[in-house]
Amino acid sequence: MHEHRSFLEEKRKIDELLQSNFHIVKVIENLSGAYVTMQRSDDADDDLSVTVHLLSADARRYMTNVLFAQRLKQSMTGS
Amino acid sequence: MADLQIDFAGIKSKNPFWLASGPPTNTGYQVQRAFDAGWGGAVWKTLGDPVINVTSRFSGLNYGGQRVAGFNNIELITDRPLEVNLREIRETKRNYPDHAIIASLMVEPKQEKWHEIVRRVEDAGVDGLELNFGCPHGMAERGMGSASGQVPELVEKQTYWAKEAAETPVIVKLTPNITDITATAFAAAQGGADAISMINTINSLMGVDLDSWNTIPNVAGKGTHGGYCGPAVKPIALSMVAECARESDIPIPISGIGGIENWRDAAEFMLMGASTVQVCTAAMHHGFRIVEDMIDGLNNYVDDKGLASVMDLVGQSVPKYLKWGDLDLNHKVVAHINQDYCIHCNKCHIACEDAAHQCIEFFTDADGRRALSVREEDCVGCNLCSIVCPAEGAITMIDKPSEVSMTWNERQRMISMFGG
Ligand SMILES: Cc1cc2nc3c(=O)[nH]c(=O)nc-3n(C[C@H](O)[C@H](O)[C@H](O)COP(=O)(O)O)c2cc1C
Ligand code: SF4
Ligand code: SF4
Repeated sequence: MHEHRSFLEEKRKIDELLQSNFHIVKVIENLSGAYVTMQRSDDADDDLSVTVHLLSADARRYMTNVLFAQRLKQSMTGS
Repeated sequence: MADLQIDFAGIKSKNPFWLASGPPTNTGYQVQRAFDAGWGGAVWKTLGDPVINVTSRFSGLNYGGQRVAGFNNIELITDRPLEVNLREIRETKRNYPDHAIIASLMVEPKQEKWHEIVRRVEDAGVDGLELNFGCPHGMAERGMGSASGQVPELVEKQTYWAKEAAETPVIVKLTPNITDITATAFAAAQGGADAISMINTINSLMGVDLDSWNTIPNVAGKGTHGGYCGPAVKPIALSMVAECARESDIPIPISGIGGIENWRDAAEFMLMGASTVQVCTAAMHHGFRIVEDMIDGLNNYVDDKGLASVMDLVGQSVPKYLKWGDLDLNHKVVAHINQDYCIHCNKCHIACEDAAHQCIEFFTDADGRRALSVREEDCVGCNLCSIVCPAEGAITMIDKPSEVSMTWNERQRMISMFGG
């Protein structure tokens, strides 16, 4: 059992999208985990969106911390 | 030398240690000897409508090497005449004017019954009253004790009736045999109670004899449910005290009862909001003189903490007792095995493998010996390995604090803003 590996794999997906200028626009949580929809930030010329399915508790925790950071950044930049 | 005096809803006591209502407070002889030993107060064995007690009343739960880890009884209230009790209360108060004597009372849920008994016991000179809404057996079948203590309206009404007649402070003693003790604590406060005390005993059947198939204890081969108390109930009692202490709608003092055996237990109850503590089973197990160590220990503790008075302890831990949803999900602890103390029993490995997260692994140390270590990234910090480890100091739980905190409630609020 190496739950940490599934966390790292799910975190990697989120981090890659963040690095490519995506941000979280929607989160649906249900019995199957969290479905996190991410969209490219406003200044990008397309509105490509990607949904990542998170299963591990650590990844779902991480995703919410990303949400908090994103909100903080938005409130500071006014965007 | 710390000040151990307390003021509990107007009742003064030289220390917070009171004997709870029960066999140790059955007679004036016992209560006076208890006061000589150092107890600050005593709640007299419950007075009320006439009863007859059965023989074979108690049983003890021995667990591992510990005798009386739990204790069970099917005793009712006093079966001695009210006049005799009142005479002894009067005499005890005369001989020990500086000690608190509280009369515990239980009558049928009728206004005139409460008025009558309150007047008669106050006339004997008691310092306060404790309404016993907690006894779980016998009296409950007659509509008293926990039967009325489980119904918030009856708690409120009877408290109100007692208060109508009372001139001394009224403490309402609550039953733990209820889903949410704050409901009855709130009802007591609404009825005008000056204080609450908890817990009375918990419904229990101690055991069944595998040869005779009789219950333990049994009366001529027949048994009934009893009330459980002693060290085993302390965590339950402590949580109930804490639940009430943090509730702003219950703004009255609390007397903590349940499994208290030493000054440490007492200090824990006080930190969680109790301003007196009551003891029954430990006095039955070890005798009145246990109070000497309790007084010394508490005194030293209060001194060591640099506090002037024991009252400064009361409630200090209450703000740290939250709802689960307000705990920090980002905080992490992980287990660490200290090889110098490990005796290689493998219990932690088995526990983590079978009942936790499979992250205690074998490795070969520099001397070629098999040893265990924790794969930290998979450790969820459940504490199980450190709980089962028999070698003191071999497993340490290490804090890995996070820079920002995030509670479940905060998280859910945030997610709801994103459609979740
Ligand atoms: C044998 C026995 C008799 C008791 N009788 C009474 C009683 O008459 N009135 C009462 O309010 N509580 C009674 N109790 C309950 C105790 O006062 C106390 O609430 C309970 O035992 C928990 O405290 P402990 O763990 O220190 O024993 C009795 C307990 C025992 C063990
Ligand atoms: S704290 Fe729990 S998960 Fe971590 S090593 Fe110990 S038993 Fe395993
Ligand atoms: S339970 Fe404790 S003593 Fe036993 S192997 Fe684990 S760390 Fe060592």
